[in-house]
Amino acid sequence: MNIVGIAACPAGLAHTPMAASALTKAGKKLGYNIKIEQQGVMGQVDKITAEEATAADLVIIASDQKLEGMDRFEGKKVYRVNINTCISSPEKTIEKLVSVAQGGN
Amino acid sequence: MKKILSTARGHLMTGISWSIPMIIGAGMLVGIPSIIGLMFGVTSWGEFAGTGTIWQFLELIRNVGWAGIGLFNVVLAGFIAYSIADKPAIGAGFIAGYFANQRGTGFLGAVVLAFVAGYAAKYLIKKMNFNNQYLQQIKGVVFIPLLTVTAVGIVAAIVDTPLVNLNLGLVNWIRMMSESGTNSLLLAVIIGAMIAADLGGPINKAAFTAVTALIAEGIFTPAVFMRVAICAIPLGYALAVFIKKDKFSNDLQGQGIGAFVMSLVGITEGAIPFVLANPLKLTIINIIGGSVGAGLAALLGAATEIPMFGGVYGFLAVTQNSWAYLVGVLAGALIVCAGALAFGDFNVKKLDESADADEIVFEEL
Repeated sequence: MNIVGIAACPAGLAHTPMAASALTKAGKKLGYNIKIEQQGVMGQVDKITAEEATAADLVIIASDQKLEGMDRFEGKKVYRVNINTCISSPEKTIEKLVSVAQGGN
Repeated sequence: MKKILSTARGHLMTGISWSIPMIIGAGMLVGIPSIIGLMFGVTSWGEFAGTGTIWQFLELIRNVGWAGIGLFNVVLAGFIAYSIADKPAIGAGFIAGYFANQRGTGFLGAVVLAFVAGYAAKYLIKKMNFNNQYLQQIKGVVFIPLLTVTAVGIVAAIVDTPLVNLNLGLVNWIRMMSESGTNSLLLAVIIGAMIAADLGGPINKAAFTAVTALIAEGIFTPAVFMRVAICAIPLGYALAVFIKKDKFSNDLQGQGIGAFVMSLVGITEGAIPFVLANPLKLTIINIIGGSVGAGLAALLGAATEIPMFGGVYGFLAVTQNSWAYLVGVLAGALIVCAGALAFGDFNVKKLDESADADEIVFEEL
């Protein structure tokens, strides 16, 4: 399963990379192919390419802000989650969203 | 209702997020020449115009910084509007922020009118549709820009008197509070507690934005109180690691230096990795440390007449009782350090235990 996502917080220097690395680590541990883009103070880091977006089965948005390039995920299963939840419980977040995306609850 | 509020908060945070790099850069550009001037006893910069001296040169640099500080409300409003309705809204948002500056409705006016600009554009994009292809094209270049700015204009005119009075009242009230002893203590305690409450989250950024808006109004001392809390909290955890390394997991031991550096440069977020270990207890400790540190600095008379940014080294920009700033930072840090060592549990690997699957709330987009 291919998972992509974006992390962003207001200051863009602490929560953003923490959430991105927590999700990436947890996703790999659970055996998924995962890449999380950061939209922090440096703009877009680890940018999700058009190909990666197209190949994605699930999109995780760890932010309540306006994000760049959301049109990449048109027609995809996109879920918005609180960024703090992603930092403190990355594995459970991914497991839950995967099960939702696969039609469970 | 809750959903509307959280969406609105997201837009506000987007606006803040775009203005932070500008305001920090601009603030420091005023601060650094001001500090150099202070070292040579220069406080009134106006008199150097046309003298061709280094001071005239530094004064011009300071003015570049002031230009950036003056743009705070403009950029904030522009990007709030942008967050709501993309490109069609950003122009009206900038206009809203600039008008708020000129009119003296300040931060409040900028935010209110930015939301008007954003939601007006959003509504028009959705509801205004023509069967005629040419009209549909003109809509984007003429109708939406015109009507969006018109909406800002009409609301601005309606709320003008109350907003001017409200903003003036608030600014004067805070100016008074920041200048008198007991009141400045109260102000410092509130700011310190808000900075500590969520370390870079919405409450922290609300305090940051309010303090920045005050700098734009020419009130500089609240920034001193805020910076005390910002520096004290990560410094507290750095000290705790330094004093009792065994109490921390390997991961967190490595974060000690990081927290120290974050404290030096003034980034509260440096404390987050530690707080995640026991969020509830440690947040309470942070709030106590942040508010006591800031309060102590206020009580000891730390104050400034120049825009202040930065971390521990920021004491250079504290023009009155800069030692009190450092005492505040140290006192706050010691409280956080002691509290963390007494009540924190940093050694257990607690990955993924803090939430039940049911507690993970998500929203399908």
